[in-house]
Amino acid sequence: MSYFDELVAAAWGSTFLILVAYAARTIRRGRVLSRSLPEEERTWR
Amino acid sequence: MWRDALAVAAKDLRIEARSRVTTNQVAPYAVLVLLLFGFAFDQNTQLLRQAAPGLFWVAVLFSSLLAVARSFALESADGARDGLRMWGLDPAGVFLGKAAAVAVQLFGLEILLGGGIVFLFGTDLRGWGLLVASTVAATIGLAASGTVYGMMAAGLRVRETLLPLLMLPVVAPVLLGATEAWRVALALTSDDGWRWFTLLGTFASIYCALGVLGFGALLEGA
Amino acid sequence: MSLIPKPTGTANRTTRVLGAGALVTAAFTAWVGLIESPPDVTQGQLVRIIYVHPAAATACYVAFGLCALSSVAYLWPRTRSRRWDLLAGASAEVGVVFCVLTLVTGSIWGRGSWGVWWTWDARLTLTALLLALFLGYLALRRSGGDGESRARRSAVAAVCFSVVVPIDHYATSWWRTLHQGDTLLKVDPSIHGWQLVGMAASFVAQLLILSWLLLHRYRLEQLEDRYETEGFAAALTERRAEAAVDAGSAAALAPTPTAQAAPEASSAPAGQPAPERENSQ
Repeated sequence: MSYFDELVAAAWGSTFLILVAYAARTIRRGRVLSRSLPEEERTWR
Repeated sequence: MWRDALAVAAKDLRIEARSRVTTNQVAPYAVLVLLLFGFAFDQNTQLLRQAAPGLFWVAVLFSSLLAVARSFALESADGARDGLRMWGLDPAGVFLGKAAAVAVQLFGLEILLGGGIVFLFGTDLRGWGLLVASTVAATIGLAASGTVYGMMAAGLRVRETLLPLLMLPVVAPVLLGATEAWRVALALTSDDGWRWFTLLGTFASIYCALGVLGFGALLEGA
Repeated sequence: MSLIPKPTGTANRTTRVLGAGALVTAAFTAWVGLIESPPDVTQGQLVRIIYVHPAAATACYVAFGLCALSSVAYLWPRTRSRRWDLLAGASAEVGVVFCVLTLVTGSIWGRGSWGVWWTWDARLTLTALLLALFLGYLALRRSGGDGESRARRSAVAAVCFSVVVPIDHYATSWWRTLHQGDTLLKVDPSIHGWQLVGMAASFVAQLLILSWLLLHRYRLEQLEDRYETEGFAAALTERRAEAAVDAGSAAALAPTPTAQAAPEASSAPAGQPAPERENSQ
């Protein structure tokens, strides 16, 4: 792989990593918190 | 609004005249910052002369953090902030008054620091029109934005670390504009200095407007 | 044993549909960007980063803009509602994520194109400043104190900070910058074919990802808000319930004299009221 290919891979790779990591973190926090709150309090269904 | 502003400014400045915190603590701190720059640059006079405007404004910036923190510490004791609200003072007036008091103190510091860079860095002050105009605009900008964010951080336990975090990115344009304007004025670079003055003036106007409009909400929230 | 419903978190049909759409368009963008579209005449392979970077920047602006708008809505007396404060917090955090993404992808592209990881031109500097500002905003939101005053001062801060967004956007036309100017917003876009398709798809994909993240993050913010206000009371009740269960099981494990005494004690009072009642008549 040439240097430029590595840069492209780094850019797309970090994009994927950052977005997936943030999404996972947000969803996990959401699951943890919704466990301790009663069902009817939720405003989305 | 203007009457309230004058009253608040007079109060803040009178307290400063009696307690002399700015003169006895902030001013020496500012000069110390200049000295430390001298050490950091290994007394390289050529470099210091080139960098003098930037170093001057960085020192002013750090001093403004202290001046703003002090301005709000004045009211942290004995529920003085609630007193301000109960007097029925116009919040916009309170904002202008506090900002004006901070600006006056900063002007004093700038005169001192100006002397400092002439003495310590061998700066040759000239281009007085642009120099003074840009300094006035920059100082008003610093005081206005500082007062807005100082009010936000006032009364919080983490205010000592939060205020610099909020203020420094915000006043980065002031640092840039003022440094460039001074570099043009001191003939260290050739550029249109008045363009930077416009930037500084715009920044100052924006924050004065934001302060006048938003201080009511902030005061109530404290 | 309490009946805890199976945790579904912040998801519902809307987020699943949105998420699926985001994934599909992202996959399409990746296919166009990495495989189908040809290397650029001038940029070579580096153009493939352009299928991520400008869209991320736009998503960042949209998120911060939303933060500002909801902050204004919160401050305006007629529209004041907790929801605007929560939306502001959620959109600021998502905005910071996209801002980091913008700076990282931009820096990598710059390394390939200009040979440097960073340069102090107006666009880059303002974007870095924007990141610093909104990190400060997030710190302000965690600064504690009464919920309402915290919401108010955060809202004022958001309005002040978001002034930088339009300045950042117009930076390439107001100043001489190393960073190139707008490509898609020109009246006559100068890119065609697969490049145009790729760029357009990237915008759609990132905005869908933004919406999906925003929805989840907003609901998380709602949950955290409820937890902060009511969670403590609920946790206390739960603790007491746990304590009662523990006391009950401790009694069941106790030695037999207590168990034998209990039936005796329960039969004795049962015997007594009846004769007493007869007496009172």
